[in-house]
Amino acid sequence: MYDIIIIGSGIIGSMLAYELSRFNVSVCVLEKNVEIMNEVSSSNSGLVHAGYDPEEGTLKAKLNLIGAKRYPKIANDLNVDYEQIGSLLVSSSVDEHDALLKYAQRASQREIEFKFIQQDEIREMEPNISDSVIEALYFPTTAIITPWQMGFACMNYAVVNGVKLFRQTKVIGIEKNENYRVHTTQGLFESKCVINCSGLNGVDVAKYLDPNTLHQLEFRKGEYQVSDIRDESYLNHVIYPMPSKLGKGVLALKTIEGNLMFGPTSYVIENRYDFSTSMKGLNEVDSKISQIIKPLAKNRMIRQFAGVRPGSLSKDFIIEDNLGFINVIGIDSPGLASAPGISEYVVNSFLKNYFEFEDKLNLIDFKWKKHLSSDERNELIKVDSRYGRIVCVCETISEKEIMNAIHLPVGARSIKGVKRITRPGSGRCQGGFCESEVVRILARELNVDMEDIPYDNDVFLTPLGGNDETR
Amino acid sequence: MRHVKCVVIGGGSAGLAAAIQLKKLNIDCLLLEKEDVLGGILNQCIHNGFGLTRFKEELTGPSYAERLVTEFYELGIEVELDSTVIRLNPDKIVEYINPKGVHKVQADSIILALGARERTRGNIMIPGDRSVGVWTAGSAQKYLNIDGYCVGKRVFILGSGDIGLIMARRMTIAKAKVVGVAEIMPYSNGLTRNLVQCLYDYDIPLYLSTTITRIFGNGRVESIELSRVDENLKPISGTEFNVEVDTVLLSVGLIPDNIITENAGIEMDPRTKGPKINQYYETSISGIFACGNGLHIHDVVDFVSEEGDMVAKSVDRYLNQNTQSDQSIPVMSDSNFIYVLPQTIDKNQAVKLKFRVRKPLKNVKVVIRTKDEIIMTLPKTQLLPAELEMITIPLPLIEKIQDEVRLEIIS
Amino acid sequence: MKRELTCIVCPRGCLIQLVEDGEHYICTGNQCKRGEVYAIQEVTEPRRMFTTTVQIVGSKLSRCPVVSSSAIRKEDIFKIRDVLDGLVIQAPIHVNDIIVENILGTGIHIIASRSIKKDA
Repeated sequence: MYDIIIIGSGIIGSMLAYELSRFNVSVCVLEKNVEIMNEVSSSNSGLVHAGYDPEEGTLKAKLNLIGAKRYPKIANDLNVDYEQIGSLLVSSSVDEHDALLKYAQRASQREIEFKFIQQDEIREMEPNISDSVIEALYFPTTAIITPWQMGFACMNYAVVNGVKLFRQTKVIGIEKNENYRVHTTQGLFESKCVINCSGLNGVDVAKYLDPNTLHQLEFRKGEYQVSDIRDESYLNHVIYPMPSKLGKGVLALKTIEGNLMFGPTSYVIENRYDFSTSMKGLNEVDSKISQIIKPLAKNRMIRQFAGVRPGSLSKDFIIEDNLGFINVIGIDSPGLASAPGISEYVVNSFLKNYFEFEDKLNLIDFKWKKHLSSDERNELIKVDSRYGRIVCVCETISEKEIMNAIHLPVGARSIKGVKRITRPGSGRCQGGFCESEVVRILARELNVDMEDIPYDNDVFLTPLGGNDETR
Repeated sequence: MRHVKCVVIGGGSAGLAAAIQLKKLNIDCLLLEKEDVLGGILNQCIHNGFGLTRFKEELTGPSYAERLVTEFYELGIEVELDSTVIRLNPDKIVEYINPKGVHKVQADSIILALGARERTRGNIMIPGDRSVGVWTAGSAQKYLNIDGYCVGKRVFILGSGDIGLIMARRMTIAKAKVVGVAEIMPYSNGLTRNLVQCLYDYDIPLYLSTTITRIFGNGRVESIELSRVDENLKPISGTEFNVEVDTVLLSVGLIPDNIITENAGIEMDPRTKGPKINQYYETSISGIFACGNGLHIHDVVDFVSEEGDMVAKSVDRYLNQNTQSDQSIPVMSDSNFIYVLPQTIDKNQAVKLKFRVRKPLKNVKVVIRTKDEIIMTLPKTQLLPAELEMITIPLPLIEKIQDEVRLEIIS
Repeated sequence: MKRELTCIVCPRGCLIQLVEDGEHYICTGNQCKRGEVYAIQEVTEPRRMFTTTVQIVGSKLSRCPVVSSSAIRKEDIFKIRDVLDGLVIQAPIHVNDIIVENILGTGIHIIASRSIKKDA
């Protein structure tokens, strides 16, 4: 019996777990995949938007602002990446001046720092901006984070401080008697309150309890292109085009690691798990990007990916409490930026009606370990020589760092998890050299055979000399 | 900081040969190898066909490697294994990491024997699901031959070069069903021997002028869409067909792996994807040399090792004679060539040119000319992109060269 | 009976025609004797060099690459593969060590194509 069950461990579930772990409430998180942060939360732009974009009066507007304000302290406390690189909202036509004014007014009302900048200053700030850009709004507080790193750090902190995480645990039914009874593939869980933050499955999970729910989600796919690390000096800020009805548009940004990223597109899809890329989508990214920046050569793009966002039909977040069953669904952009605002809102506006939140004493600190500098590595090698055995040459990641990723409180249990936490397989060879070694280390550390290690959710290796199943 | 006469970066078929030759020339070197064993990619190339020129017998990859490695250790050359070079400084300071720490060494000369990496799905942008089940051929080869695991049960291979063909056979022997091989060109550039012994022997169909246009699969690969392509290699609408597989192996090209080269500011040639060199295999930074697959992609490992031999001799010349090349005559070529090495020459000695043509040519003449006259004409019955060609210009003809050398192909 | 095949002995790749003539074959299209030998062998009893890996214990490596000492009959490939799949060998191994002598009575040996040290 728990006080609170959280369904879903994307950024919302992870941030909520982090938030709640500081109080004297018992919390468990149910995650259907092998790894947390596996779906919407790991395939997005990684942006903490400044907050001028959402319509006035929406939860998005309110919570983006709070989220953006809270992130610096959270990032500092957890020692995760957070960089306020700032952004430019650019316009290529005088017709767009009024729209820019509108955003400037909103920013002013919301006390978001901004500045109008013209041609020369734009080019000074961004030498590679498209020649067609004539005017821009500069927002210094826009920030970039590494979404899965933020989520992993939050969940690790939570687990270290008492939250229980159940992986490969899919919800298959919910009923309410005195308490909530949540049926899963790994058994029954009971609690006083349930927070449904299950992303793409938001409405399906809500339906388990209330088959007549009126909520509906619309799934929009967004395709991205990623360049290799050497181009990080190409851009200094996030570049936004003027937004349209479809959303913020195709952006140009760089990630914390230094990859340039272009995207997302935005179109409605039927199959919410269709994370496929297409020539059409990639061509759209190419053509839209060339309107805001000078495009890079094709051979610098190392990877394409797509994300799917669950949006509500009202275009705003759905965050509501029905007798202790709290839906936090339809979390599309600016979901990542709003996450700390959403968790605070859920705690203060809803959960405080059910629990007396006392601060937990003797909280255990958890700090994320970032990529090592040469000096740090040299010192660590003296303690454990495996910090000097480089497994991923492309990203300079050692055997020990991979072992650490596996042995975290919320540790990697798949190739994907190791990749998320330490990045091997994310560089120019995309795992060609190091993947088998990563599997070998996972098997050794988890005390299983290589054929028991999943890539993502499924295993994939067959030992030689095995059964003749195919011919 | 430690100081050495020569640092060899890479302990595969090029680096080993270079280090061995350096030792025979009485030059002490330090070889840095990122793996915990020497031999490079040869260790996973368990098939035979290596060494016919260098050792006068057909050897498997591991046997070829062992010949070099044995001689290397017998000569007592200094080596650091598990050592990954993370930075090369234009002043020839090499920074590397191994289980003993982060090290810096000042070198008088450096030989880059960095090898190659494989082109990936992301590089060639195959659209579709992010399904698990897509690997480069070399990655699957490593799982199989080093770890003893097969990555899938129903396999399709993209690319009919020798690596793709070898893996078609290897996966079949490993009890996977290889459903087919697709090749985007209208011909395979693999050896006929491999077409016979890897595809025809096992009734594996080869689809020419065909490529993979989409990958389907929720979680794991479930099927792929193939399309015929036109003479511009663009998919022809309406020719799509689907094949059910759970694994796709990509054998779509090797790229010289030159991150540290580029980061050191060494001039690169986009046509070879390796550093620009003169006939001494010297890069744009004096005293830094390059050889092997890290310089340009080879077909025959014997010639990789031969480049290692040559480069060591160049280092000897550089360290002992201290002659600087005062001339830098560019080597140009017409559009029939993918690339020609070296990119610059001087007139002090005979030069061995190496080149690849862009498409198969029959009964042509390779013409080497300088500003006003033709220096050499060589008739060739056949030139293939898959076969590295070599032409030596002897010294008397070298002396005729004026401001530039140009290679052309005429019918 | 007529057969056509491409010779693979050297890079020339001659297109060879074989015509059955009683007990013999008449061979045309080849530019050297080796081609004729290859072509006749290929149509009567095709042979292949065979390489694979064998499981090894007592070393930090788990597979040992092996090669046939000479070309085996093409029809024996899978049978020999099956024998080797069931094998486990012990380190140390030296290159050219005979792993399986006279495999399946063919007179051909399976030999190690590299050395593998014990526990290293």
